[in-house]
Order: sequence, then C-alpha cells, then structure tokens
Amino acid sequence: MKPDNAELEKVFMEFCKDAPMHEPRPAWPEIADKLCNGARRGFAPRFAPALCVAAACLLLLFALPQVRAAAGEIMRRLLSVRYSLVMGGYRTDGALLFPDGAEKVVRTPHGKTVMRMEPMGDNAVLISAKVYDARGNIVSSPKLASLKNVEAAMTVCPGSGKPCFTLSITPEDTQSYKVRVVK
Amino acid sequence: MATDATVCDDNEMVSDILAGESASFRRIVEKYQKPLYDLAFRMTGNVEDAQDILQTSFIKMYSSLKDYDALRSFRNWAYTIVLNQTRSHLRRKALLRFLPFSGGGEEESGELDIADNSQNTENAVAWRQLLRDLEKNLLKLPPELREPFILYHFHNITVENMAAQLGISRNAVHIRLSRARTALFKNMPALASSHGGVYETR
Repeated sequence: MKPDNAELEKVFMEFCKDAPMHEPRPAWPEIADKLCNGARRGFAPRFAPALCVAAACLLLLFALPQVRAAAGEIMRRLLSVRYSLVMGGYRTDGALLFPDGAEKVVRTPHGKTVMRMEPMGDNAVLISAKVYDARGNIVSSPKLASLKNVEAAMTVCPGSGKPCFTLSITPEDTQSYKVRVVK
Repeated sequence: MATDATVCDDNEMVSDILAGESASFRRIVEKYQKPLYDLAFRMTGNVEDAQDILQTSFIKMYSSLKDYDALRSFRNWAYTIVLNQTRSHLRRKALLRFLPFSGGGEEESGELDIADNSQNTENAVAWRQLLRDLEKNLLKLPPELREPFILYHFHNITVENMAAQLGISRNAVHIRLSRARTALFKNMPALASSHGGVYETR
C-alpha cells in the first residue's frame, strides 16, 4: 500500500517535530569584523569587478562606428556654446560647435587667406579668416557671423600702405561655400 | 509562525539600526542566527558552507535594510535572503564540480545534539539514525524540492509564507512538498517500517 500525501505529511510531521536545530558558531564577531572592514574598504573594491565589466562593455560598444559617431556628436554638443545672432531683423539662436569646419585657402592679390566655416545651428555660420601677407605672416584674423545662402562681405586690410580688399562669401554649409575677391 | 510581538520587536530593531544604532543589528544576528544557519546547513549539508552563507546573508541584510518593507515579516525577509544566498552558493558549487581539481564534493555533517525524545533509549538511537538518513537523502533531492520540505517540516513555515519566500504559488508549494515527501519516503525503507511497516517504499 502506498501512502497518500496527507499520510506522508503526517509521517514526516511526526518524525521531524523533535528534530533539533543545528547550532552555528557565534556569527556576530565575524559579521561585525566584515561590516567594519567593508565600511573601511568603501565603494571601490566592492564594485571594482562590476566597474571593470562595465568598462569592457563600453570599449566593445565604442568599437562600433555608429556608436563612436553618436558619442562624438554628444561630445561636440557638450563642448558647444549657445549663441544668438541678429542680422537685418532676423534672429537665430543655437549652439556654436567648435571642433567642426573645413578650411579653404583663397588666393588674393596680396597673399592668401585661409577661411574656416563653423556651424552655428541650422541656418548660420561663423566665418573665421586668417589673412597672410606675401611672406606668409599672419596680418589679420577677422571673424564674421553670417547666414547660409546669404552673401556676406568681409573687408580685409592686410597692412598699412597696402590696398584693402573685400571678400564676398556665400556659405552653403560648413564644407562648401562660394567666396570671391571683390576688389 | 512569528507572533505580533516578535514582528513589533523586529521592526523596532530595524528602526533603531536605520536611525544609526548599529548595535541593534547584533540583536538581530543573535536572534536569527540559529534558524538561518539550520536552514543553510540542511540545504548544503556542509558546516563551513552554511557558516559562510549565514555571514553573507547577514551582511546582505545589513546593507539592504533600508529597502526592507516593514509591512512584511522580518523573519520571512531574512529567510528569503538566506534562500537566495544558498541558491547562488549551490549554483557555484554545481559549476565547480565541472572544473578539474576543484576539491572534493565531500559533505560534512554537523554534530547534532539530539535530545532524547523518547524514554526508550533504543528508540532514540534508531530515531537519531533515521534523522541522519533523512538529512542525507534530503541532500539528494533537487534544491527546489529540498527548500519547501525543510521550511515546512523543520522550520514550521506555513505554505502561505513559503509561497511568498520562494516566489511561487501556494499550489506549487503543495506540489513540491508532495514530490519531496514521496521521493524521501521511497528512499527510506526504514522510515516506513518505523511507522508500523505497513507502507511499501518501492
């Protein structure tokens, strides 16, 4: 005859009811010691393995080009500054991003001018120029904020006694823009 | 079962600890070390492992005391932590068995100071032997069957509390208990004979 569950319950209840509990060694001294040491050790050693794993995961993530690009974009935005530009009744606000912009060398009758466009939001650019004389020395570093697809004029006087010239610039984006020497 | 007085007492101690009186934690350790160690020992069958689990569990309790829900019984919470620590320990141990030179899987039996529960010494000796057999056979059960059996028969935890501690339904607790009893009874012919010898064990 096989006992059913209720009978088995009764058998084990009866059998185990007087079973004494196993006695541990006094746990407090070791626990107190560990708690004190833990408090002294602080955050770093306890979480060091988790931090190592997290760092390894980040490195693996950064191996992906899309992630690298996204992270670069975030960094650029973090390093940017807010600006506000008013031109002819038109106002635009945004962030001036430092690390971008393409350089373009413009030959002028008096030497060369190196121009860099940096984006200022969607519609505006910051035009920075470095004007060199015929001997290759920088003589001027003018800056001009302008709107995209709007012709802007930058007048440069490289040095005393020499004629000034004007650059007409039409930014299309930071990588391409039209520039011509007016005079 | 924990009485209301015990629950209030526990909650008071927890409040004291959270208020910065960490000496109260010693009272909690001293109050619960015996049942929690017994649970860990019966689950692992090893004195040192049980002692380690006990320590780790108390440290875990201390560090997560701020998350303890005072509406819940502290005893249940403490049992849940020990069970979780024991499961992790058993999983690690099972993994180590696959590794070479990881040390023997010898189980170490703790000395039981069994009170003479019968006036007849012969019966007491036989019962003691059977209890040892039961403990050995318990270790052969899978942990998910071992847990409810130990909690129910050795620690008098109700099915309802057990369901909360194990995170399963009451029905599942009943099923696991029934399976554990059947398996143990089958492996212990001496138990059947000690209860009148009327049951078949095979």
